[in-house]
Amino acid sequence: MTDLAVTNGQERLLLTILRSFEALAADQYHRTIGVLLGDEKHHLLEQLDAQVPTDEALETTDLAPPVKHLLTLLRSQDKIQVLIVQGLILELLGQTIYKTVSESAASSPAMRRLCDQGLHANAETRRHVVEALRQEFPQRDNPPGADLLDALIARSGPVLDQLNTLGEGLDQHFGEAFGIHFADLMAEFASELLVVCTGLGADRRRLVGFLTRIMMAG
Amino acid sequence: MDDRAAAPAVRSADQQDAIDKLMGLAVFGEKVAARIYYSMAEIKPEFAPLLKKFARMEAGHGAKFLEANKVNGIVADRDFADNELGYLLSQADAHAAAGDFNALAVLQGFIVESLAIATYESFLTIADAYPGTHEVFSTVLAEEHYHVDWVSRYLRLEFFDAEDDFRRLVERVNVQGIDCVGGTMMNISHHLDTICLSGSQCAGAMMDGYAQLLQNVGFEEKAAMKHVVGLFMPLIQKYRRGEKTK
Repeated sequence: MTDLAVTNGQERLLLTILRSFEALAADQYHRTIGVLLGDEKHHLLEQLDAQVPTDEALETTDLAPPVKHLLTLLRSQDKIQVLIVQGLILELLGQTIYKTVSESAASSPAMRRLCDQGLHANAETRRHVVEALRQEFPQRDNPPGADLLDALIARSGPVLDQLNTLGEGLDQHFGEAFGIHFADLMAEFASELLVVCTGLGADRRRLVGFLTRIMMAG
Repeated sequence: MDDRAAAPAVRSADQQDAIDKLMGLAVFGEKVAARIYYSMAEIKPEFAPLLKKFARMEAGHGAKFLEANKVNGIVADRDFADNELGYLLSQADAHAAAGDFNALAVLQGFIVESLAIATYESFLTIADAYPGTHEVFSTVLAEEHYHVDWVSRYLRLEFFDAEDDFRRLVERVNVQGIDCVGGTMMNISHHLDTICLSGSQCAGAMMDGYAQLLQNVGFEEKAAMKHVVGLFMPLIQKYRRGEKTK
């Protein structure tokens, strides 16, 4: 139960989007890699459900089609797909969003508290994600990290491309409200992703090239 | 009179236009690089002998490219180059007028050289299609690395135990520097694609290379990448929307 209600329209819209993605992630973790679904994530979902129990705030906006398309692209029961796309990429993106909104002076106290919970859930999941990636992609390949990078490039392209498409809509809806700008989000997200992946042995130049290709593709 | 002496390879009109523009930028960009190193030599006489040598090397690169162009039926597109390089020259002149050696070091030694290295390295993969260019680009590339190595060492010493000062310098120079040079990277991306390179791969290589240089002088890896990607993202978004970046 939450004792503070989020009433601002933009905040409710963002929470509705976040709930959709968190709910899908939780379902996928439950079905494929249970260890990624911890108590903090359960708690976050309860809070999000309490604040925005329906998609009403999203349905009337132009963000609904690209968000739904992205959710469709994410649906998979494949363990590696879930680990890389949900566990690695979207958790990092979620962390960036929660952090930005939590630190925004424009956010309400209730919104900030929810985002802080999002960050807790995120950190809990990510600890297990890195360990799971180490197990799935041991650095015995030559060059080190090549298998992880091959898998990431093969599996995340369509999702990242759709995120890129969604970017301008996010700027329009949340740029002024929270000072969230897609360019800043991507810079934070990309730098985190690069650090995590190079820590797992991936070649940075190749990963930067891949991300740049996706971001530049029209 | 057409300067095109010979066209040994069959190219489409688009490919010819693209290579004319790219080699125009290479030829005249090297001349701008020479001018910037001369400006740096005037500001710090203690480094003048070396920096004048760098300037002569850069001018020599431009001459080598012109020779390679003649052999390959390429006419350096001066209008295109002038349009791309005007903004860079005005920034370099402003830094020089202010006696700001360190800003010129970052602008030329890191940002401009990162673009040059990223594109020259990439060009080597297709150089065999342009007779004589492999040797020219290999030599030029090695010399650009030599310049970057010296600038890196200089900046490391200059900002030893003063990482915050270096960060402020980079942030100040990058606002216009990346907008300008990164904008050129976006503007040549399509031409790189046209000659069977990858504009986005070159852009990625430039970003990664520049971030690595910042790390070499004291930035943390994440901070370097965030800084560089953050500056490139608005340019990339413009590119994606089909807008001119400069």
